Amino acid sequence: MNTCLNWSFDHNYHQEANCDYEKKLFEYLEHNEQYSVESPLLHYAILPNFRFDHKCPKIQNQDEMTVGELEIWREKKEDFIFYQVKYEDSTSGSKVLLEFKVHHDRRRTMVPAMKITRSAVHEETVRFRVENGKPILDIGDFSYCTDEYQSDNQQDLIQIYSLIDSIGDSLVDSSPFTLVDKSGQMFENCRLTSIGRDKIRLRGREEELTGYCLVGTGYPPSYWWVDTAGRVIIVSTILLTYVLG
Amino acid sequence: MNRMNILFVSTDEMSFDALSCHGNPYVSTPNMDELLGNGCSFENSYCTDPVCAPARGSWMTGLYSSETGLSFNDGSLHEDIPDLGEILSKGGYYAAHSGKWHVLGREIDRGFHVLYDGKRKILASSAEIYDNMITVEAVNFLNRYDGDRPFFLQAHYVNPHDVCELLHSYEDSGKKIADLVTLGVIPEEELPPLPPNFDYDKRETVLQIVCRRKEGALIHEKIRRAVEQWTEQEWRCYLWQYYRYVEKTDKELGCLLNALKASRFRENTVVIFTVDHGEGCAKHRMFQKFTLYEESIKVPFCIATYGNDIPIKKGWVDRKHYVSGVDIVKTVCDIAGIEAPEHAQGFSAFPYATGQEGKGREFAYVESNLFGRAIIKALYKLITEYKPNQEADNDRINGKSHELGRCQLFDLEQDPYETKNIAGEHEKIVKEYLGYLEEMEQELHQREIPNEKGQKVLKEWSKAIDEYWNHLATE
Repeated sequence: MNTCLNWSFDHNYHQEANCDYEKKLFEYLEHNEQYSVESPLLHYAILPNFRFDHKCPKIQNQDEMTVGELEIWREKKEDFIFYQVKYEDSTSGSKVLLEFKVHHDRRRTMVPAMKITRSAVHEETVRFRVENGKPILDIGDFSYCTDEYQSDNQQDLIQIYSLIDSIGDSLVDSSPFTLVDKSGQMFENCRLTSIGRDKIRLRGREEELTGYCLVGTGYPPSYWWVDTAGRVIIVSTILLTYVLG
Repeated sequence: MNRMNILFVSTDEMSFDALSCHGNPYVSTPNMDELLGNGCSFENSYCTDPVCAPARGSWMTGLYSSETGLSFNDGSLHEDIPDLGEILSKGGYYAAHSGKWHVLGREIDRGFHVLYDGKRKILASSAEIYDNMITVEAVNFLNRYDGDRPFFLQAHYVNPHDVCELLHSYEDSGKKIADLVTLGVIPEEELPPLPPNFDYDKRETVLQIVCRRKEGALIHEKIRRAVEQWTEQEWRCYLWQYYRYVEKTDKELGCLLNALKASRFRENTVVIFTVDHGEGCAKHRMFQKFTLYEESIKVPFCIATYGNDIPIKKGWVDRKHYVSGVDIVKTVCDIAGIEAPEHAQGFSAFPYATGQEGKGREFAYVESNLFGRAIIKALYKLITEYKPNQEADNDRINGKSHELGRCQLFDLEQDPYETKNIAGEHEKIVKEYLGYLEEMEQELHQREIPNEKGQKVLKEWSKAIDEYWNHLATE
């Protein structure tokens, strides 16, 4: 097996008896060569970080360790990049399809509109838009502001999944931004910090990774690791790890 | 007026003072603040037992945890006790549930229409995965419900309970909590300071020592060992992260409440908001709950409305009355115009919210870790414990069958952070408060823990606590 994992995505200690987090993580990492910063599709497997006696998600064996997947399709058309994102996980039961576009600029600033098709219990199409800086959801003829306290702060709007393409040193220490997640919620004052470099052994050689920490108002730390080819290969939140592969 | 709809929303593991409107400058909770501003907020609000399943069992039954069979997270609700869903359904309401349940031993759908409880069922935790779906399905309900019956919708969020997962991640791993300042993620001045009661009076109950403090603690020993190594700055980083989880919940809750405001139910819906229990937040150098200190047992509680038809006093802070999680059943029944079950404890808090006088109580009563008890009555708070009795039935723990252990007394007016145990200097007050405890016990119909697993834990705990008392006797 590999050497020690970085603390920010080392969840080896929190396994059910028949599961091996590190082995699963590397199963994906070892086979992700087809994805490049230029390829139209990025595919991430979602692994549970496991948490002791809180039995959800209760995963019994290695085969069940992939609890979800995230597919990010992007296509450049004129001054915009169009994104189609498919997210699903077998724990919440949530399936979400997102369609949005971003400006072809350094930060991939979002055009403030997004189509969300989601299902867990009911399938529905929801449209996200921003009015006077506030997020609005339109569900058929029912519209409501999801966060009346969102300030009209003029911060750049960045969709969480386009961050996959823009993350890097140029976003570090730059002005705070407002993040839009897959539900259309907005998180102000987000900032990205470089947390240094680490190495992992991949395909028989050492690969250097650069780590970033993302935080914001209402947004607990998540850790993003980028390889030398500029690909985000691991994102670790408190409960889940997204791994490219 | 038509019978009122009721929206019961809760968060998990959130102390009374984790809200901006309760004076906390290190967290931003505009949506919860607004909710409290649209109704009557109770300052003397306590959970019945500071851990998820017992506290939630009380919400759903109107009984204290020593009466439900759910005295701790390994217990099980007695089959014959009706839950709030059943009570409301019989009373003509459409009772719907989205979110965390954790009333062990009871299927949600016995009384409720289940809107959402996860594909892998929500147990105790995992807000990151579930909370947004709890909102989505609750909003869907508000958007689609067109039944003839008034509704009771409960949306029980999991966050900020994910802070427990953060803590669990340090168990046995040799990892320390990320020092976000040293990493350069946040400036030091953004960290909340350590609370004034980070250092605490060590004269605690044996129960607290055995459950939480000593080597081999009964509850979360592995986390205890991990946090023992933390520097003060690392404790502060834990606080900083906790507040981000609080803010995350505030956003979910705001999303649901804004959907209510935009819906046709705005005028005729009462919103009840509370929390199952608090969070240690480094106070008394504690993490999580399971203690009888204020940070663990004192929780927000409000009754509000966004419309103008229901005569709830808006922006009102009630500092006079004691309310408890056990009051949920009677409060909901009162609002719904349904007779509460005869066995239900507590009082309806609804009259206070509408400016009327209610029956009320003179003091708050809280149970914890099977043997722990607290009585809160201005101006003091008594924390005490019963010793396990190997000869008697430890299922029903009270002053008739069990010997009293240690007492802690705090002057909540002079010492709101509970830093000095004054029990030794105020025997008369201790006696007076023990009298309230005896009074309370006369009202209880304590029952055994019905499940094998619960019985096993009860025996193990009794033995461990007993051994510590024996160890003290030989010192």
